[in-house]
Amino acid sequence: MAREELQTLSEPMYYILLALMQECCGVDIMEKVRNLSHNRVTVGPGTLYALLAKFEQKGLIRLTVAEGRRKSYVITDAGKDMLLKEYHRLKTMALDGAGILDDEV
Amino acid sequence: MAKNRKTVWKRFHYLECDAFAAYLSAMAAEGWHFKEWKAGLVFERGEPEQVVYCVEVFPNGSERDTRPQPKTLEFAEYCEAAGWKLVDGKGKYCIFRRMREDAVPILTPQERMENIFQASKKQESHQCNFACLMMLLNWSNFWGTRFERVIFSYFDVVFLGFFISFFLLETVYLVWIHWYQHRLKVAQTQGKGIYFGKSKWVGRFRWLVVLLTVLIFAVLAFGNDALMVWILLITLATMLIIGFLTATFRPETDTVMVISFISAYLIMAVTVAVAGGMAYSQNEKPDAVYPPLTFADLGMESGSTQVSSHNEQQNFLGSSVQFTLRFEDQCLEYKVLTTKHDWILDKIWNKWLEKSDNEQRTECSAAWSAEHAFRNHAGDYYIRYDDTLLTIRLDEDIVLSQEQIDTVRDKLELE
Repeated sequence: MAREELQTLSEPMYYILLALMQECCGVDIMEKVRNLSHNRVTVGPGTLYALLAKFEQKGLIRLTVAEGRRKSYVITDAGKDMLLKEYHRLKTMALDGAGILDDEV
Repeated sequence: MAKNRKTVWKRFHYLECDAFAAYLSAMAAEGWHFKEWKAGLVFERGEPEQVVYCVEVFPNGSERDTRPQPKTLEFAEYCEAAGWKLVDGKGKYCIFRRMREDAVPILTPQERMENIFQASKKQESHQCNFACLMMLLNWSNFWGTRFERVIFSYFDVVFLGFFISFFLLETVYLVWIHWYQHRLKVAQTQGKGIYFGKSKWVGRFRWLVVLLTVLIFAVLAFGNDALMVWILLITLATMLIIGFLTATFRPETDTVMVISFISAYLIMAVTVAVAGGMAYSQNEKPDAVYPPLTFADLGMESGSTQVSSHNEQQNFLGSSVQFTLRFEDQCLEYKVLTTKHDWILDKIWNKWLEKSDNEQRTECSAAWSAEHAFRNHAGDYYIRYDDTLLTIRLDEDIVLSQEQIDTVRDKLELE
């Protein structure tokens, strides 16, 4: 689940943090991830539940509202830093590959 | 009229959760729909239907949970949004019914395998630790001076054997779980699908534990230790009844904890009461036994003596007989240990030597016609024959004459 103690993010991790750039109810994140990834990425409920607990424990997201069993979360500054770092890493990787791989495509 | 509800007494291990789901689906196809999980699986009659069930292991659940707890219900909300409805759950098990054809799998195969093996290993580790603790506790009886008191006790030796076997069985099973996980991980990396079906090894392990338990009852009954068989039966029956009642009425996890502690306390209290009663009844009627050696045999008094304590033990390793006799302010205490095993004789004899190491010993092997014999400064005699040990304690100032020694040997049937 956690890649090297969250040094880099897996696809579901990346999209969950991206989904939480705006406050969102936990159960709605699955739908939001699907929309953000244009139906390319689906996150199972078990995966999501475990990742939210992990992110909250690591201080990457925080609980905003808890109404009964429905909980809402939002990304924290530490979470944003990590997401941005990952975004730049992916962007750099894409750029590095662009000169070589574009011709292949 | 046909029954509309039935309970099935079937058990599945965490490693068999796909077989569990398949069983529920097969029942639904026959028109029996899973409703709840009490002491058994409860089904209600309905229309035969193709239902897809999914049995997951929820890591945040507790083995003591008799019903889905708030955290499980919170997890179930996520699953419901993904198309899976929680039907019921117990322990770490969560049983889901698929509500939509496009339901997203609850976990990835890797996460699923991790959860299943983590729960299995935790469960078996607890059992293994319990077996290890009980084995060490029983083993501790065989250390030090208690050795000669328990080595010929049927109950202590059988119990030690049982917990050693139980511990070894649990350890082998735990190793097998690790090996099985490794094998499945390799298969998974090769892209093979993983199905947690009915496992013949899990079944065999369960039967071995049952067999071991039956065996201990049989061995104890064979050894005429009826009282211990009753204590064990009462303990086992209490545990089964409490297990059945908590599974049926499904109290909250905290209540289950309280019930567990109270029942453990009750079982201990009953055991102590029964054991105490047994000791009391033995003390009440020691005069009913006839000591093979009395004060009169040694020519020390002619009246009747009082048997203040008496203990006899016998098992496949040997036997021990102990008597303490009192007459006015005089005391005669003796213990005869008989075994064919030299290591037992050596161990006890060395303890006796250690005990009187710094004391002045008077060698008297010739008088007793023994391999070794000595008298310590307190007046206690320690004698070793080929397969028998004898210790005899008299008042400090009494030294046995050759005639008295011959009488002791004759009465106690020593070589």
